[in-house]
Amino acid sequence: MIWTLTALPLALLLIGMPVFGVLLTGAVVTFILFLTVPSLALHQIMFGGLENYALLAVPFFIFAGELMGTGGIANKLIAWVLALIGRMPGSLGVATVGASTLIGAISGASVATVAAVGKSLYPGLLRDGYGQRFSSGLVSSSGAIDILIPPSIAMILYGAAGEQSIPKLFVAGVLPGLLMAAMMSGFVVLWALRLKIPRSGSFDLKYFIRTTISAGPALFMPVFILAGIYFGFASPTEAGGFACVYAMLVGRYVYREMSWKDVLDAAIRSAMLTAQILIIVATASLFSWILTVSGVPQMLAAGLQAMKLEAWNFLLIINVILLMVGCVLDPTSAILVLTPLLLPLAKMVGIDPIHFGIVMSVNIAIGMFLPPFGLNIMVARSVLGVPLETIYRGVLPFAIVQIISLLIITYWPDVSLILTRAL
Amino acid sequence: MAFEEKFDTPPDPGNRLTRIAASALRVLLGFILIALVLLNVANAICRAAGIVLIGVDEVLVFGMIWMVMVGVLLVTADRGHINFELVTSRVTPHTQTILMVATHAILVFICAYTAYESFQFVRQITRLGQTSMALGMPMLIPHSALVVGFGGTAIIAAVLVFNGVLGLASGAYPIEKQGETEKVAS
Repeated sequence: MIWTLTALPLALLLIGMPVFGVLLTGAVVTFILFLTVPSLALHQIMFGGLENYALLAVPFFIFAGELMGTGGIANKLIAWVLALIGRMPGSLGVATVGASTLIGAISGASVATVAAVGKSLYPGLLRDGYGQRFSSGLVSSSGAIDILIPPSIAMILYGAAGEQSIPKLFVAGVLPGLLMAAMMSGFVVLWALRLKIPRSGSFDLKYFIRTTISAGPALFMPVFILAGIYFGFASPTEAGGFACVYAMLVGRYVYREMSWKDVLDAAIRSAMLTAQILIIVATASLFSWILTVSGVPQMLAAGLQAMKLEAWNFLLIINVILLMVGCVLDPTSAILVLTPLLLPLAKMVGIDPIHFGIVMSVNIAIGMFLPPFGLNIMVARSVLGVPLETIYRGVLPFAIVQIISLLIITYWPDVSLILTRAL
Repeated sequence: MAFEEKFDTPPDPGNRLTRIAASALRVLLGFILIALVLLNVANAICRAAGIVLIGVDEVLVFGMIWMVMVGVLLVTADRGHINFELVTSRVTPHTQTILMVATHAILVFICAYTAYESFQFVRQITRLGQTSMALGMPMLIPHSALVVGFGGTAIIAAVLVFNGVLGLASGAYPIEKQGETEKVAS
């Protein structure tokens, strides 16, 4: 049976079969050849994988992100961050990190952040003298912070696959996300000082107040979403719905940058993206179920026990594996396939499941901009028009900075858990 | 770009019909998502006001399942599914087409088998008269989405295989690049 769950899917993945097809083929072939369970279970398990109210948050937060980009909210947030940072060394670079973080508090999709921030700030970064390599690396890597800053689709999927509280995961992601943003900003400042990049105009209070008023409705959006979830007024799914309606109204009637046709187009794009993600959820549920009934997690657990690994060894191995997986596999597939396998092992060695979810998310976030196939790199290439090799070299220093953040988050669980305890 | 446009043939009425159907499905998907958002918000507001809307959660989840399964048809036609491009991006268009034909031929069989099993399941619950807990909706309705999704994917994959084989025979490869559906994960 092992070959139908390992060699066959790997071979199909390598020849370019869609991920959902890889998982479905592995599961169906195992079902036909080795299992004695009635084959109707195949349908029931996939339907059960999709019949999950929490998953509705996925299309809602993708749609909110699309509306935010189309309706001008993203641009207002970027303008506000620029006005706030003012004369700081490396201000435009730090603004890129800040804008990505702020947009991440609304949008659940990292690639949407890269596209929005890249389009707006990349020309300015080049003009200020950061260079093509550094600028494209900065845009690609800062978008990954989005995965840690709630709402996060990766965390929704981890919560659904691992049966963990999504609001708790959201809260746990805040400090690690801010830590990553702070480390990136620190690096950008040092780089700007080293290159003697000229400072932009000094902080202008009047301009800042004007920008704050103009960006007010946009700035209220993350407050509105996150406060709704954390103070218990709305579930993450309901907050996603409110975020869509809010973004629609602000983009249409406040900023007047969006027609109803734009709203429909954004809805179509979001529905198509949702289909790509949730079909993998359905087939990954089936694949994981087969792994479980075949005793694979139990075998892994027995192997781990025999190795007598401590939590820190385990986390180190997991980080290396996840970074390697993240380089080649998309986050959705990685989270959905690996969570049911790794979470029981993590619990066995005494790691908090929420902390483990954050460690997985940080790894996945870094994988988003690691060569050769990080999705953010692909988006940056198409949005910025920069050769892939330039971006590959550009992201490497940021990868080192983020791996340092990863080690802090991995071995200092309080960074993730302190806010969840305060709730 | 739908699958029929990727192959270099003159437009015909059949192609136009397929294009119109694909556009109509896209618009339908957009409206479904907007409707789900509005229903979700209405439900939350009513709950806060002490009004209970029975069965809204069921409609939302079943609507999402239908949206996903119809969306999968369009994504398959666009060849926009998430996949691993390490090998496919480094080979000639000829080899790319061979790989596309091979993977989609497997998809035809696997999805057809899955659709058949789903159909058997739907038949059983219809015979038993199973309904949803809150609304009493026949469970045939949500479960049929999987029959449509996998059955339709098998048919579309078969068309892609056919186009691919024609392309290999004539030397006009139907896949210069992946479909236009934007790929995303998180």
